[in-house]
Amino acid sequence: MAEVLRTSGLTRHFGALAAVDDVSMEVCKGEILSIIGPNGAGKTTLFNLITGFVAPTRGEVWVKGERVTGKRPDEIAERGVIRTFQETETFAGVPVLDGIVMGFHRVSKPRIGAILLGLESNRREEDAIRARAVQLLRSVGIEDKRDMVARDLTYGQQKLVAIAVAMAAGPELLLLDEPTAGLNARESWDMVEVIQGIQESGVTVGLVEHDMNVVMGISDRIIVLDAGCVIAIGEPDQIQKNEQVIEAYLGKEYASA
Amino acid sequence: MGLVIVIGILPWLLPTYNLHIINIALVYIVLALSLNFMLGYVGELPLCQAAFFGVGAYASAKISMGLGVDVWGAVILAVIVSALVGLAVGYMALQVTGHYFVLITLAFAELIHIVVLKWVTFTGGAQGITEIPPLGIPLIGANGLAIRSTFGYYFVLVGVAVLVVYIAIRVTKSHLGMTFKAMRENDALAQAVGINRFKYKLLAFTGFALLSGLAGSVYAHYVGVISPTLLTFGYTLLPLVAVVLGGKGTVVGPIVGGLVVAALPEYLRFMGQYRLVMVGVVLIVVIVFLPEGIGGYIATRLPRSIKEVWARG
Repeated sequence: MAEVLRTSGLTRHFGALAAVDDVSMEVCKGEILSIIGPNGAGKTTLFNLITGFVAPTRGEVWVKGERVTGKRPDEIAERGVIRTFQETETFAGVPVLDGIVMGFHRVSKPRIGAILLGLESNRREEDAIRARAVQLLRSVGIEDKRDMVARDLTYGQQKLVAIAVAMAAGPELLLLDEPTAGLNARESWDMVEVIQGIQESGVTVGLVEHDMNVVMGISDRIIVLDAGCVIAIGEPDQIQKNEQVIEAYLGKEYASA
Repeated sequence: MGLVIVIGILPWLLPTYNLHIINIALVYIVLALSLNFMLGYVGELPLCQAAFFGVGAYASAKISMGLGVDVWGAVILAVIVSALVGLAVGYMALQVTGHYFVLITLAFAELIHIVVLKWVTFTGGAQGITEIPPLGIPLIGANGLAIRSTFGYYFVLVGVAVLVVYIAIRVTKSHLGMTFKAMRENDALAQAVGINRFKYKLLAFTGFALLSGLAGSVYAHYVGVISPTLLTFGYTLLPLVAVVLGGKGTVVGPIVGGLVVAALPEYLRFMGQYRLVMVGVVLIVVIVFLPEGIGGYIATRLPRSIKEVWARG
């Protein structure tokens, strides 16, 4: 299968600590790949390294065969790798719909000359983007919240807004950092449906997630990190049988019978 | 429409002194609107507006007096000079953001002020430059008709202010405004969806410098005399007060704020030396009771259709 993203020997030290240690992996087109591991295993740092928010100490990142190590976050986003944040970042102070329109920046760049001249063609394009933003909100089930300020929504709704903003940027690879953290069971399953819908629309998904029911249910492959190192890669049933993974992270209840 | 009639009739009704205050208010409106791109939309605070105001004024004076260009040509060249200085300063200052950006722009402002003050052979030093030629109406008479009256400059400044209001409305309603606000609302998320924050902040900063220079240029031809005082902190502070007082992130805010900042000290003259204290008191009262500013307070109470134009922020 075609690879969307590859890392080789990716390493990041914070002082004496190797937060991510020699991680080589690839993400294949169309799959849902989950990254699991105990707290502090380096999952979020791995996302930060891939998306350019943190520079690697060593190692390389390739997006669709192009080396992107050392590039800025917006340059990596420009190549189709879009992420969300664990802290559920939204454009908090503006109406939800405006925030989604902001997410469309990569798809529809502001054309300064046309804007200053007030060209009708530009107005039409901006209206078209707004209509697509409404559709995106509908697809995650919060169209009725379009005029509310994002920070006034419930936590679960904000998580959906964050995903809609990321989808607006037209990702080929969408990296979701703990999309179900802090959600109740019902909201979690709504989120799972949203993520599966994203995969079905042809977007590759990378997932950092703690809820093993979610991970085992939707992942095509799983990478297990512990203390910055990859200790296992495989399909869900292989991971559940892996002694080292059970030892480090899953615990006995996930050991398959 | 009513507003257009009021603006058109106003100079016939007001005594020259009051009209002069209106003219100064128009200069502050232009300065406040240009600052608002940075402070209200991009969400960075530059403390160097006086420098660009001064660069625009000095460039226009020197070009119109030294190069033998038409005065309007000098205005255009001065605007270009201001934009280029803005581009250079912004390129360096925007390597950092937040508090560091504030301090670096303050340092640049001081640097440019000192250069203007000490480069006596070129700028006239503390004496400044006098007898700056006035703007003219081209095609009337042999050399055009010089605009020498407060009355005439009222219309020039209204024209400039209308242009800048037009730009502000166009930008804030468009995707460019969205991109600016995205950086204000969440810098990390803005980058994650592909916004090149250096590029767009530099764009806003250059626009800020360009329009501040335009204000300085027209002001120089209006008053005819300039000195390094133009580059002192007061000309940075008052537009900032105007934006905060009026309401940042709206178009109507800096307009209201500019009027207040120009008019308040004048109409408080009866208070003598206490008038500046009173300006401070007004500022505190507005910040405490109307945190969105006077304009912001009005804007949130306007009907939706008007709000779309004035205050989509």
